[in-house]
Amino acid sequence: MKLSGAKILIESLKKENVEVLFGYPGGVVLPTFDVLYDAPIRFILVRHEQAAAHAADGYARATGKVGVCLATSGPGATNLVTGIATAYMDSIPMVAITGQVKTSLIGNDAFQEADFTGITRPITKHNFLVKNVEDLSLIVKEAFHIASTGRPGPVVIDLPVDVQFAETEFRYPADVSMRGYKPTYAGHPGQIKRAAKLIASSKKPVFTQAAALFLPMPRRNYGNSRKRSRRLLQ
Amino acid sequence: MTLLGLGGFPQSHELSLGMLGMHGTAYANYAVTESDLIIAVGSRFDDRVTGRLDAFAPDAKVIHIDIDPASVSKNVEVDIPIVGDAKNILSELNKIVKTPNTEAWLKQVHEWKRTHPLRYSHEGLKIKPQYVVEEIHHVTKGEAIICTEVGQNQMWSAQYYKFNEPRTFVTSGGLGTMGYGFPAAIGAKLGCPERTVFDIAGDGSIQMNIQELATAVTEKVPVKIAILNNGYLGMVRQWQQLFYKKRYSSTRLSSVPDFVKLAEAYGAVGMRITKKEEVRPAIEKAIKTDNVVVMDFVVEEEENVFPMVPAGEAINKMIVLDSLLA
Repeated sequence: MKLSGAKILIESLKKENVEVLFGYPGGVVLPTFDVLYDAPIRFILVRHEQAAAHAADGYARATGKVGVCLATSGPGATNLVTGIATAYMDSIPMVAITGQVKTSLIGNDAFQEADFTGITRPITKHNFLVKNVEDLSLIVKEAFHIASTGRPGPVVIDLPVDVQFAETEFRYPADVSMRGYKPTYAGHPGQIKRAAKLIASSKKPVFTQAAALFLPMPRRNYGNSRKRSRRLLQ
Repeated sequence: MTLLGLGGFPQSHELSLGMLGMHGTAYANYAVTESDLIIAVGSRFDDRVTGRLDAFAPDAKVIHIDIDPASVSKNVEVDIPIVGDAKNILSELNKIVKTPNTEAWLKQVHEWKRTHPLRYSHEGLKIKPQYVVEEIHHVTKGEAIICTEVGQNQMWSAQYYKFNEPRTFVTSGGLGTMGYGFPAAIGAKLGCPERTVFDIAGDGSIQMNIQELATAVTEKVPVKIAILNNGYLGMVRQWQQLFYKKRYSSTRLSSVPDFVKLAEAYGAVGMRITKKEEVRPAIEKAIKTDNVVVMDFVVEEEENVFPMVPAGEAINKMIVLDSLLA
């Protein structure tokens, strides 16, 4: 069965287990808000888009999940900028979805148009302008993957209104593999050996740690991470 | 720990040195400066942490564990970079590392902790903002999620709320965004509804997203806002006091607005607290109240955040409380 881009967006968010969405409506995101009207996602209507981005960020920091916010094009999108930049500087996993004027009007100074992928290039880990509805589900999958892996950060999905109306078959990708994006997880064994040697010979070591946010959730794996740090300290 | 590292290692532990950097503890800054080895995990050596770079830990070798290769040797030259997931790397490292002899060093560090504790003056009749943070810590048993705005409120929260768990300190560290804390608190509370969530704010920064009282009340997200109201943009005023001859250009806010009436206008609960003995009961009452609560703590106007490393100075060259009183 064919679904609209707006429906595909919300179905994709459900596949990513998004439970809360922070945002503010506007002209070019109306198709998406129409789908949200009876979607099983809690929508928090803020009173200014900046708060939507910060709330998504606070949600992400407290839970470890990806925070998601949604705003319209132009001023709605630019009001997210401070929140996106905040998340970028502190490496917070966030997906910010913005409406965009219809593809045929992009670059025409249309009502409430702003070049949001241009504006957010230096303050996002990655951003997407969705030009074809066929690309949408893969873009959502990639956005969540990029936001939450490696060094986390905010990802923008800019979604023109005509793409929200356009229809295609919905298939959500099971996994994602991106050429050129493969974060390193295992430390180099030789470097770890060198580090161990240096630690053993040190007389006045200090251990400085940042990004406590990325440690496990409270009361789950907490004991282990604490032991790891403590062991190194002693 | 850096500002964003708070909560990663329990501050109740004897080996914890709290936060380092511009408003870090004196003993953390002394220890880092004197150290011969820094094992840095996930930190990017921001200028607020290092102070003057050429005087930062001059005798230390640096092991830097980070998942982002672009962060390695960006600010501080690293001797042994290890790129990857800190959890994997620390586990591997723990399997092979031999404990160095640090007896003399730990003795020195504990001596610094004993002789240079974090402290503030208790003189005067007005409520001290640090005291409010200590009381929030006491009443919540250190188990709340603390969000902050940016400035003095943020630094006092970092210094005096002794974080013991990850993901309990939610603050805009890198960008330093005023207006962040309250909406972030709404997000944190929605993600962790079983936990008490505070936004510790200043009277300046809370006004940057005060309209979200409507969101929090309408959506029934009962976060607790503690405004440390000193009638100033306090951190900027502090810089003006210390480095601009007390010329308080555009930092006086006066007692506008009336936060109690404002809270009530939005359907939240407002309280004004002016006496020290009212602080704890107010916090207890706020936590018991099943609504958004705005606590307007009228605090000492010209209280400063100490220690303080002046911008561009070495981190062991701190302005401390005593040097100003003397």
